[in-house]
Amino acid sequence: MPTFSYNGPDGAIQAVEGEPWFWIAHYRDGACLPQFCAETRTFHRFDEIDLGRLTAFEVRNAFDEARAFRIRIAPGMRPIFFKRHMRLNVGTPQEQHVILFCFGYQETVGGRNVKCVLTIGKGGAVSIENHDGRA
Amino acid sequence: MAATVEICESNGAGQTVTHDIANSNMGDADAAALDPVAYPVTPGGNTYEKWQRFHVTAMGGSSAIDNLKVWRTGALGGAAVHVTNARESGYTQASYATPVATDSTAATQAMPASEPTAPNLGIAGSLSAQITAAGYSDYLVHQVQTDPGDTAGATTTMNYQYDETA
Repeated sequence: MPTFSYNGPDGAIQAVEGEPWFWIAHYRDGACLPQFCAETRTFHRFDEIDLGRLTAFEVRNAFDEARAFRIRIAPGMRPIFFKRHMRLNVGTPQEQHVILFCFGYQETVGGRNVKCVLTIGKGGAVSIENHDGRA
Repeated sequence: MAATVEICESNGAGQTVTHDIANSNMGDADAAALDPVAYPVTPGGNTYEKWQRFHVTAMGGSSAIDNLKVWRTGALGGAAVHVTNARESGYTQASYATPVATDSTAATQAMPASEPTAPNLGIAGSLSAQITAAGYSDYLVHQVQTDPGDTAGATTTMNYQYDETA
């Protein structure tokens, strides 16, 4: 994967390797903030997204632009994006390190936090759930 | 690069830390990656406790590591039980103590046999806390306690999970 530079809050610049799936925040004024910007070769963190300007949250495959998911973000909706690392059967011949890409949105409905989460697993299979395995 | 996370194990008085353990083999010795054939547990006895932690050695640009989960898979066999301090509610942080082969006072609850629905290992004493810079999770303490009627050969394997927000 290509390498991008991250200008951290402490001013230090560090190298960040690209990921097979990444997010793009689309703003109401037509601007966008990609997690990995191909033009500037910079990396942006999820907490850099300006939620107040967000109109759509896209997750795209780094190798195939056509493989993309775009979520319309209405007022009150908050995007979700994280990687889930699973080290399974540690120390056995069946040991695996599985990485799942999880994304979607959450919003408060009737006082409850409601989530819609898509998970991209090994091989690209996608599942959709109303929870993300988090408290 | 993404965050670099390893599982570490502490052994001995004052703890000797083994980083990035190859396995979580348990037996009649307080040692990381031990050979269970060389250190078998007599039926009715316990393994030495395992004291393990998630260790973030580099954040790699990511902002948070959280939602730590541990569970076991496989058939324990006989009446053996795999106990732990990991739990989804009523969680308290364990302070390191030299691993023992007597009944653990830190690990008093059954190790989940499938993925927990919520985090069951904390960070700084809280199940909802995050690791935001290189550092450690709380200690995961676990032990297998056998019954005199148990036979050799049953296995249980460990699974470790965390979420990374970039």
